[in-house]
Amino acid sequence: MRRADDTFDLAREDAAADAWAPAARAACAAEPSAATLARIHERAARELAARRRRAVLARFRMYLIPAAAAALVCAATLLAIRPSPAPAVPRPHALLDGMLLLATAVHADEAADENPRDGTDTERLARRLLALQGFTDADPDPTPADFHL
Amino acid sequence: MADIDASDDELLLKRYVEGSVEALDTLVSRHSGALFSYIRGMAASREEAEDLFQETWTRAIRHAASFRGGTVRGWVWRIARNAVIDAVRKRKPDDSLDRPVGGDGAPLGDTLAGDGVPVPDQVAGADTGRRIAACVANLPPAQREIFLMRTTGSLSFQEIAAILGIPLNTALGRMHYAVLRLRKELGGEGRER
Repeated sequence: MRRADDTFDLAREDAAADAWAPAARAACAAEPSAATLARIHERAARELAARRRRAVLARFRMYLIPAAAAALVCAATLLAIRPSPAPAVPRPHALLDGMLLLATAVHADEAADENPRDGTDTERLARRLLALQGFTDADPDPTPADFHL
Repeated sequence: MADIDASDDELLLKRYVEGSVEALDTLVSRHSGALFSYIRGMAASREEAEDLFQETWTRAIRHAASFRGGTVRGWVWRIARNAVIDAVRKRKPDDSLDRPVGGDGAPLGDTLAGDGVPVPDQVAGADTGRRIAACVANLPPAQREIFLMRTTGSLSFQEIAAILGIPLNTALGRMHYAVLRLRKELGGEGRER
């Protein structure tokens, strides 16, 4: 068998191969069947079609990202410029009436317990309470009843 | 030796990648004879050879777009050789044509006997062509593939060495011993060196 230090001459081996080639071709030549060639053709066509689909998808993806970004910007802009529904402004009189009623309802019983005489004048009590809460400028002017506490 | 213009192969492959199936058909037909003869010589049966030939071109088709550098012919032959190796491994999972065995480091493919029955019984009464085919089939696989690549495939020894990933001298040596063995088994008829 072959020894590791053998060296071979390229020209000589080429000549030998060329001498053997015609006989080897005649003896060993073979061709693939038509069915195999047809399957290769079909496979090649399918691969091309798949490649075309991938190319279209890639092109579509190229536009998809900028389109999505543009849609996002448009949505944000629309939200920003949309007229927001104005909160209902309570009428001053109604507000004051409400506060008076509330204050009266909450504190009337307590005040009446502490000072039965004040409890009889609901309006006066409400005014005082409003003054205490800072809704009016100052304590109401003392009335004669205040001097009889 | 290179009676097929290599640049035409590159052009055909490029045209196929650009969308022409006919270009691939032409490319296949240009190489089908030599390539199939090699595959048939290495395969265990005609059916396996058909499968390996189809597998070779399926791999080439799949990777056609990524072909870079070298020659299309060398590339396709390398794919075919890999397909053959895969088939050999399926048949004998532990065997590789290039696995070193023995004290001198000779690859397994150099030492294995061929797959067939002894030549004298096989070729008795057959014509010369059939006797040569039988003797070639009985060559050790590593010698047989180089003999087929060089004679039926018309590849140069440099191309063969590159495809197989072996030194040029190794390729020459395998060819040398293949021819010696053929001459011996054929009784020295006709093929003087």
